[in-house]
Amino acid sequence: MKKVRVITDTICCLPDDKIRQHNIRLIPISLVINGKPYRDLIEITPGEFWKMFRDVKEFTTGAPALTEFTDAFSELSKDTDSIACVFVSRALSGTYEAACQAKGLFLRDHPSTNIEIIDSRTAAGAQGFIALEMARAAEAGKSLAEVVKVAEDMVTRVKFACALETLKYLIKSGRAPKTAYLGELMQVRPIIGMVNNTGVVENLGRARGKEKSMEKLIEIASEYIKSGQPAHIMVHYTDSIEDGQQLLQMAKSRFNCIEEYLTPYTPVMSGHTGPVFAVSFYV
Amino acid sequence: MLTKDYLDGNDILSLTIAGTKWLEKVVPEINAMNVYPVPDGDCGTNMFLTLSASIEEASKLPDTSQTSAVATAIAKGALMGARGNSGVILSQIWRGFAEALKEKSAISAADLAHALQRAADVAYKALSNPVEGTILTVIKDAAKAAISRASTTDPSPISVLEAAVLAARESVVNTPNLLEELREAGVLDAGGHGLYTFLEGALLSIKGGLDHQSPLLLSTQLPRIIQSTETPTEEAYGYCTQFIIKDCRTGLEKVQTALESLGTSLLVVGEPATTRVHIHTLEPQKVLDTASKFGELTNIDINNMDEQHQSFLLLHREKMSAFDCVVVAITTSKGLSKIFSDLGAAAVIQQEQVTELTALEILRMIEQLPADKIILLPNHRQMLETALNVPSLTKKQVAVVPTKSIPQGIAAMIAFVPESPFETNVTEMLQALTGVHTIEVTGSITGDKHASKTGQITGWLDGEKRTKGSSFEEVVLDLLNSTDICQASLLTIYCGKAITETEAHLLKSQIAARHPRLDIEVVNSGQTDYDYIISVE
Repeated sequence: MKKVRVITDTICCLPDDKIRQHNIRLIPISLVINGKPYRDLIEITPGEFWKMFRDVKEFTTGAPALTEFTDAFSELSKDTDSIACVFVSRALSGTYEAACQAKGLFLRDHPSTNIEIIDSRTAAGAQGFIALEMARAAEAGKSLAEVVKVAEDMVTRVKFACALETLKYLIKSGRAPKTAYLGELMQVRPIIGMVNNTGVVENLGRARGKEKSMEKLIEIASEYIKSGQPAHIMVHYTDSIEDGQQLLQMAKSRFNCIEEYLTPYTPVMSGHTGPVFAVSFYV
Repeated sequence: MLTKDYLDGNDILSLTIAGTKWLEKVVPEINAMNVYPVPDGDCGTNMFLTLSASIEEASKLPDTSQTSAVATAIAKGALMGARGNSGVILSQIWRGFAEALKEKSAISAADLAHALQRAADVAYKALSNPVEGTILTVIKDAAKAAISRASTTDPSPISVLEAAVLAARESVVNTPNLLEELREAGVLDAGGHGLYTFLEGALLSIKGGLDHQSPLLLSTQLPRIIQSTETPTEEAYGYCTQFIIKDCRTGLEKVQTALESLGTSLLVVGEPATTRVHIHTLEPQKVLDTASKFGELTNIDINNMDEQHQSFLLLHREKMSAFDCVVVAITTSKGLSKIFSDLGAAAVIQQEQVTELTALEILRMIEQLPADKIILLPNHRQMLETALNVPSLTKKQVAVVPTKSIPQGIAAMIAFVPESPFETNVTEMLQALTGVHTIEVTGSITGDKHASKTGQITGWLDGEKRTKGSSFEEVVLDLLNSTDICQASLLTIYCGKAITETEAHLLKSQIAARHPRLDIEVVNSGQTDYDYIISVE
């Protein structure tokens, strides 16, 4: 039996080597920056994005073109007949819907391929962890139905929390929590995240200053990770890898990490949030 | 339509219909935001009805392919059917839009951008006193972005509309920064939001998304109910009086002049054949008598705004009280009040001499709030006892988080999460007090503001009088050494009224020199009880 292949999108923030190692296929989200279109991670890297960030006047994102999906389906169907996809929360993006349409188109010409599409109800590394576990299950020879079960279980377990420098980018993107505070006073950093698996961005509080914000992220994670419990951690950074390293260090000294990564926010994530540091995790 | 280089009349009409339907979905929410110029909660309804009148008029055309004819009909319908302030301004937006498209059969990206610009210009001109932070600012910002998008290479009408929508969204979010009334009420401008939603609907009808999305509701900080101890104005709002003067015998300016003294929010727009008047007045009959001298009055509509205001309060409460509890903070200066308010306190009681504040005054504020669970922050050690008396005086559930200083109060405030339950918030806020030290210093015990520069400086650490010295720097540095400053990461200096910026920064640099790891912030908070309040956390 041919092994299941896994597709996710560039919201996932997985480390490059894991994507390669587990043969995960990434669909690039479409970005428009100052009027110019980009395919996320293919035509723009996180580094390039941050180089131009201060000059970004216009940033919008869109669901990938249907051909992005159909091309990926064709490519993967060369060596499998079962494809499992997990995409960014459907409440935040049209990616899931676009994938469903593309699936319909593709199946007309390739009726023997089986495609399952899962709503991650989350974003960032939380979504990445779902894709990673799906890929591991696929490699272990699990069937499409079993891979979907793994994904469904993971959807309820993954969480992430993020400390923003300012809410202004998230508000511009229309994805801010309802009770967002605009006040940019006294280095108060809004803490947002997705911890209840509802698919929408939640307000998780505030903290003052960089250090306290990091402590607050760790504190949020510790509400879900019991002491000594084996934990999977992925720390994200944007314009400062040092912030990421510091946060990862704090996480490692606090939790029993059996898997830990430090990855940059992909341009699509960065454009929505502006400068941040964040932690994705599950137990 | 997505890749079209030109839009025609049919496109304009279908975009208008899509935008209007989109707006209809959030009419109650827009109504609940409506606090300016009068909190009567009908802005969304008015905009929707005005747009509906536009569509009705344009749909009567035998041929809707001609852009100019459609735009003119939309503008005419809006003028005839304009309701309320926002409706009248909307009619002027359409008027400018139609004027710019005169003689056009199809519109390019540049035409669309210029039509939006003209729309903004005409709307501004229609008001004798245009106010920023309203629908006017939103159309202006949208037009500006449209013009700039149209001047890039390869613009399409849709890309111009998209740029306008993005700019409108940003502009709506910015309205509380421009208009104090909005900031105080903790809302965005309703008319501006209505315009944004309309444009968003038009855009999504082309881009797709109307089926599986719902209109984005932008929000500002936590809705705030009352801002200070000042009693709310008891002034009557009067009547929103609207009518059309048919075949007006004089110019708009003359009508304006004649009615000006009879009320507020006066708008006189249109042309001699159809002159629309909108005014908020206590004497609607007098307005009608005066206006009837200029021509026959039709479409007369008079609404009692005090009744509207009452129903608005109910609506506002219904839409805004989604939270379990609110915070009431006590402060001693305007600067401190603003901080607490920006951090999400529903009400701030400001009293320079805290000892003059009584439990009854706090009680009065608490009874006014449309919330049954209240967290009270005394923020001053001399206020603590009075505050602790409050819970027993009211049926409402009041928890006093015993903050004895401003730094404790701010730490508690930052720990407040509006979505969390009352008990959780109280626990978290209490917990937050343990991580912060307060230093208070003053040189003006005698009340002489300038004694500080020559006389004795007294310092308190966490409420205990600890040290005296001859300079602020000496006392502060000395006190800092008594705290666990090595553990701290953040130091905030709240400067009193008598402190100059130079003095504050001198103190900051002295602390920074000794504690280079600290993140130090200076806040000009203007209190008079202490020259400096410093938090170490």
